[in-house]
Amino acid sequence: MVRTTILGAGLLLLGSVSLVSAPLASETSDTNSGIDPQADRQALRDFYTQRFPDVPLEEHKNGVYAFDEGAREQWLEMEDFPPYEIAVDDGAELYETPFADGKGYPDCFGDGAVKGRYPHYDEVRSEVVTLEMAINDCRADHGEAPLAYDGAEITRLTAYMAYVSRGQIIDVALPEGEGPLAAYEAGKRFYSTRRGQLNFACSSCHVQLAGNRLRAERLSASLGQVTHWPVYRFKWQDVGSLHLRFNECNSQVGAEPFPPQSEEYRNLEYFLSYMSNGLALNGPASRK
Amino acid sequence: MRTALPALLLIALAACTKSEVPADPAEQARAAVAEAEAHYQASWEAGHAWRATKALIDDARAALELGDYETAASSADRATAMAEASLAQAEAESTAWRDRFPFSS
Amino acid sequence: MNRLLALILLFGVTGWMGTQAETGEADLSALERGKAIAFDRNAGNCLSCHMMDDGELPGNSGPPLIQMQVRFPDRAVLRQQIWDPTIRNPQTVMPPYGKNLVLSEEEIDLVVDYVLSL
Repeated sequence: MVRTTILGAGLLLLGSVSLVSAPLASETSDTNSGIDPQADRQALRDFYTQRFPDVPLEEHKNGVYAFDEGAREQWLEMEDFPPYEIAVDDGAELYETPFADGKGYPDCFGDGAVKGRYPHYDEVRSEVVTLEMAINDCRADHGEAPLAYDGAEITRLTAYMAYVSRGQIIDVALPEGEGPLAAYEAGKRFYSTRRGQLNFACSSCHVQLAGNRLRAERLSASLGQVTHWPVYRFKWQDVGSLHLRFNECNSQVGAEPFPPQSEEYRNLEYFLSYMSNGLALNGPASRK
Repeated sequence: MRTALPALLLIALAACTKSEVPADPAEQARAAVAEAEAHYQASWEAGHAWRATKALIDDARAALELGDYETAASSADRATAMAEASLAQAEAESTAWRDRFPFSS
Repeated sequence: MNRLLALILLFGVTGWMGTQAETGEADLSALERGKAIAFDRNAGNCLSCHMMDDGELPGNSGPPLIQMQVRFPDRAVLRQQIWDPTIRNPQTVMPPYGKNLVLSEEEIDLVVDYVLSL
């Protein structure tokens, strides 16, 4: 039906649109009864398998470089001298620097290879806890002031912790029970909601148009979008967090963005991480 | 979800003041800016604020400072129209998002 | 009452955009102005998704804009498609340029005329 209502020559676009609009949701209640994260994840995996038949799902941890051959070569050359290396080194130094009470991050996180534990839903706090929050919790426990979530220091710490966590497999526990399911659903809703003056949802670009070009840039798949943070982005000339990228995406579609570590972005990270279960952590990374 | 109720009340208040619009251009411009701000606040509370709306309100405020009441009023009116469009988006998306994914539920 | 307000608003808005477009661009023909709006990354930004005219590095998410008069014999249909494409396809990713006030009514008319010339 969708196919016939569009521009005559619009088949290129419409092929993708009709694919995603086929299984219309019938569930409209706000209760948690209809939420099925396992089925969602399978449906999304099936979607990308169809859309990128030659790309193993695990390979999406490399974003557009999973399917853009030309860009992949440039990227691999870049990785010979990784632009995030300085951030990792700085992060290692910060990680080993003791707090005023003589303790330090190793007392909270051991060798720092803990990224695979985050994000998770904390039943006691009734919210999603991210690695960045855990870092500030550790500081608070030792009488230190919290780090700014958009500052350089926390991103360097997470760059180091991501580096030593490489190879861990994302394994977010299946959201079960009222709190986790509500947080999961909020993240899924955020990803699927059109925002901004340009009226785009995250899924508009990264599901409906995944693999297409916007101008010269290919659009990445949702799977793998959380594996490789923080990222050295040439556009930023610095390493930045996943939430900074969320913020940028929202701004680009003309929406007023949310702050890093806001409830909105933490729930989004939780949802996307569950979707990426089974993929290997490979941060930090470099991107254009 | 945040509730947009307080901001909607503000809009209602702004609408009341607007119904007794004074002929003075300065007062008119100030009322237009106040109305735009109330609408923007409502869109923000609905989680659907647009940057262009904010930018127009900033323009309107700057024009107000300079005494350019015509520009202030027209920028503010356009900001109000934009905020209304973003509130319509919030309303439509409160259900439409469910139809958007290759998901089962 | 509401309708009256909306009307006043609409005239206010188009009046404002009108003065914006007129200054400095009076020397350009209407088609050139339409093209400039269509190509501008902060306005139409049509090249993000559509191959069109002599635009460089177009995206490929929308259909190429060619033979537009054949595809849209009725100008009003094309205008509505640009004003709010979600009317015809609720799942389209194309922005509603009119409904969301990305472009003014006058700018949309200029873009429609330009696109119909392709």
